[in-house]
Amino acid sequence: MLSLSARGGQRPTVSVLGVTRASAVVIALLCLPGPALSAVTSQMPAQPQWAHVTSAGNAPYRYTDPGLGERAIGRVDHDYYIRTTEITGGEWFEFVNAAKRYVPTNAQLGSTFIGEYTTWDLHSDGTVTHYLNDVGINRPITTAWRYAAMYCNWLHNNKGTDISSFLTGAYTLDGTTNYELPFAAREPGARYWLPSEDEWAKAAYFDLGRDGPNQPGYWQYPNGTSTPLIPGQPETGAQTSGGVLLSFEFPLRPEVGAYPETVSPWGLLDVSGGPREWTDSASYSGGLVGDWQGYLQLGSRYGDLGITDVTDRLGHYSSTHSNSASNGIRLASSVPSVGTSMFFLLPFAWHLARRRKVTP
Amino acid sequence: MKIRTLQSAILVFLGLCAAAAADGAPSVSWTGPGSSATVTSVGTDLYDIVLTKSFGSATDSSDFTITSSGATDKIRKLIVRNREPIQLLRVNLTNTGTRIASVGSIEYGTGNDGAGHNDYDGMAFILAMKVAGNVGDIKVTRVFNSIIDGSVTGVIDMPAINGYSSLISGVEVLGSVLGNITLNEVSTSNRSVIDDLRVRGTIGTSTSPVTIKVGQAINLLFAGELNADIIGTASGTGYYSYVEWINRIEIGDFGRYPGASGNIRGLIKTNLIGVVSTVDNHIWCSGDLAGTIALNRAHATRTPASATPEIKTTKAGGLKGQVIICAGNENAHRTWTAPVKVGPDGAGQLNLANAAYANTAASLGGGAIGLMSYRLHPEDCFPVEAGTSTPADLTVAARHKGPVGWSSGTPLKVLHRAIGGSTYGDNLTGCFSIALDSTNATIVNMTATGFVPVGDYQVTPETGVLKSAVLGNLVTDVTPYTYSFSVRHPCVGDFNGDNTVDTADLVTFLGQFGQSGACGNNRDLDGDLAVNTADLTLFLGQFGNTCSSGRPGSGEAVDATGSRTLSGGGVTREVSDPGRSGDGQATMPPVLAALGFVSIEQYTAYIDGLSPQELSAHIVQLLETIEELSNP
Repeated sequence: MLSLSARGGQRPTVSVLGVTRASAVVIALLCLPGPALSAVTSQMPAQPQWAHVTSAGNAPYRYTDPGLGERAIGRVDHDYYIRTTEITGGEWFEFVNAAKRYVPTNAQLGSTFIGEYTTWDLHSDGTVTHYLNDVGINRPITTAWRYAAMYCNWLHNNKGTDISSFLTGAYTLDGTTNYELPFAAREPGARYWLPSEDEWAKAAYFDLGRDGPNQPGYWQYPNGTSTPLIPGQPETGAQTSGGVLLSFEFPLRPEVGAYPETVSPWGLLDVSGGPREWTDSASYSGGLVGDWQGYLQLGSRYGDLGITDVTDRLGHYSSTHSNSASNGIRLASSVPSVGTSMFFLLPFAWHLARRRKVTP
Repeated sequence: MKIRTLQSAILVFLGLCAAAAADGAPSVSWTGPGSSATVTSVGTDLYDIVLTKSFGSATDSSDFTITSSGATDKIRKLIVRNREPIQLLRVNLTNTGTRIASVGSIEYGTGNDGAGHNDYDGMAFILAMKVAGNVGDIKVTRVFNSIIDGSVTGVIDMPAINGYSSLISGVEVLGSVLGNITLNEVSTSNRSVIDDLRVRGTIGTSTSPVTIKVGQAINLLFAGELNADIIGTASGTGYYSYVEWINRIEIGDFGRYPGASGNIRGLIKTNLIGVVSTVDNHIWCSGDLAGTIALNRAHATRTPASATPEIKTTKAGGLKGQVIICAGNENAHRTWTAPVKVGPDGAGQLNLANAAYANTAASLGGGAIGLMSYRLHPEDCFPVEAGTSTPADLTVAARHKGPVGWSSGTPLKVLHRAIGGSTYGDNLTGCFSIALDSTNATIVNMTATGFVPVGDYQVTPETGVLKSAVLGNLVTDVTPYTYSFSVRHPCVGDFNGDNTVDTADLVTFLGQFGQSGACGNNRDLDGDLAVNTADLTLFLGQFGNTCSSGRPGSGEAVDATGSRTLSGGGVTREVSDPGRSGDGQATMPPVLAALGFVSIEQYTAYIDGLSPQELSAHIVQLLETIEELSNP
């Protein structure tokens, strides 16, 4: 059995000349049972995949933020899993149907809760039937922080059906109405959660062998380089949907995993582009944005035309208030899941692909 | 070029620079070559900041970060000077713990470096503006990922610079936006976009509405209230005078802005809602949809159904304005199959999805939806299509499903036939004064110049005269129609309004006997435009009856069948007005029976054969007999 984990900072030494990074990932995936990312289509739900981020206690990335001064980000003192892609419309639809009995009717009819790809019929008895648009099955959704936190609670509670399954577990919430929200810190023992800024940054930028064997470090961009990504549509040679405006020709955000070559050292896809992603780190404005609770949002988004070199870069952050439905979800977890094992391979595959690459 | 390259090499940024700033003043740091900044105190905690990227520093963008020193720091003017056309100047505005208290204005400089390089040769972004209070004018080309806790009190006027069109993306305003928003663009192939703008308060106010001008698209616009005209960047009426498309506008609560009014006032011009094959595209509001939404093209269902666009107000009776579909009047886009919804979500919500909808304006809130070219709204005319009214002071209201107008001529033709007639041979257009309703341009009022004849009417639009109007312009003929209604006396023979058909009415009747003419003759009981023996027969058939309600001249309509309960001779019975089913078949009047007639038909035949002299003598005989019967 090959030891394919990058744990310990050992840069794999297997030499496969001429292989591209993407093909290396695919090769790695094909070695194990389970769906490969390349098999995702609009009609077939993508299999959730998790990356296992190890090297607890790693060194942080230190830099001077113009506003916050000296900062250190990316150090995480525990191992964790993190989704390689954002939560999709297909996954969210299951949650909507589970949670809606506790969500006010008006919220059940709005995209803040149900996402962009769900429609509904409201019946005379007040019940709502939701329908998922097939085009959204594999596309990332956006939602408000409260619902993202409810989603974590629901998974934490093994998809329980009682109200407490939605309001407690990972985060203790005061209800299901998405208006003002007291700051909700992650509960000890949470099994699924929204990554902190540090967890997110580590998974996106940290490389166990950035500067050689046992020489970890951080890249500036979430594809294991320090070169800004090239925006554009999938399968055109572009690297990200970040910086692309929706248009007649490009009317939807791409499906998750649509840029398989843009992968972080830990195997994360779509860090750049799609929607920005929620964290459970409070806004640097004292936790408030205006008079509402605010959280950090990380990553670039499709509308970042001309600024993805900034919004994709390590250390960039912005914040928004908790009821803004502008962000997607990339789950973190302490629980190995189905399909996890294959993503132990990703660091290996990634390094395999970039073995001979010289990158500053 | 070599010189510039050399300059750039010299100016390559080697570290983090910081502008000198006094204690307590905001500080500015930057990366990128050829950059500089000045911070000048202009009052207590009030500063002007100038950010400059010099010409020839083209090797990299310049990224500035402005950091507040404390919660009271205010910026009076933030001036950006990008003299390097091929590079960007980007400003992070206090994306940190202590936000700037307020910003008076953000704009390009208007000067130059003395060597022909202007302050506005290169493009400037605001990347992450975090302001605790209000912001005044914003006059840079793009704004991203910003949150303004207060309001934008000035204008947002974003110039297109050197190949870059303007863009608003990821901007949230927790207060209101009170000035015009103008997103200029390079050309119609390099367009401006509102990608994501969220305003918790209002955009404009009900008393000071604003204009939002944008070229390509509004991808997402959320607000508590919208008092704005949203239009394209070109003037006139063509394609580019409309926003190219709108994906989502949601005005009101929608689980987002508690307590928001959700009103839309103003004009929204867009070529269509949604991009083909996208999802969840709509214009929604939770309050009054009181302005005009003009879709230049079709409002059509799509595949999948969830990609079908919607226009919706969730307020009952919330459609107070006008929706125009196919405002461009192009045959290829003359389609309306997607919904326009009115009322709270649920079973009671009105769902209108084609041009033949029957819901009245009153049920919608006063507004209408018109597919070009507009049709008549037959269910919402007065009288309604095939309905009946009375002749006195009749004002016909021909309501259309969109605004109409005409520049000259007479827009409607009014044809008439007598009760029971077979052809509409009388042109009574001249019996009406025809005018556009003063408060609702969908309605053409036809006010009778006098007492219009009873009978049946057909109203048709005059070809080439009555036009569908789009945003004040007369565009094309309305869709041809024939609008029919009837006019009936509510209490036949009661001319003086005492609800009794008696000798006083007979005297009145006889006063007009023998007269003829199209308009103004209320003694014409059968609508043949003359007061003659046929009317006398009808009158006598009603003689002695008492109407249970209504009277001539009240304008009160009879019921849908044209029948009314009358009482006469102590017996209450149902009779019909002349011209309806069984018209003229009233019970044999006692006065005629007293004269020896056995049927109406016999009497009619008799008086038809009388000479004028004989008729006069007969009338005298009638009056004497009536007197005898009344005083036995």
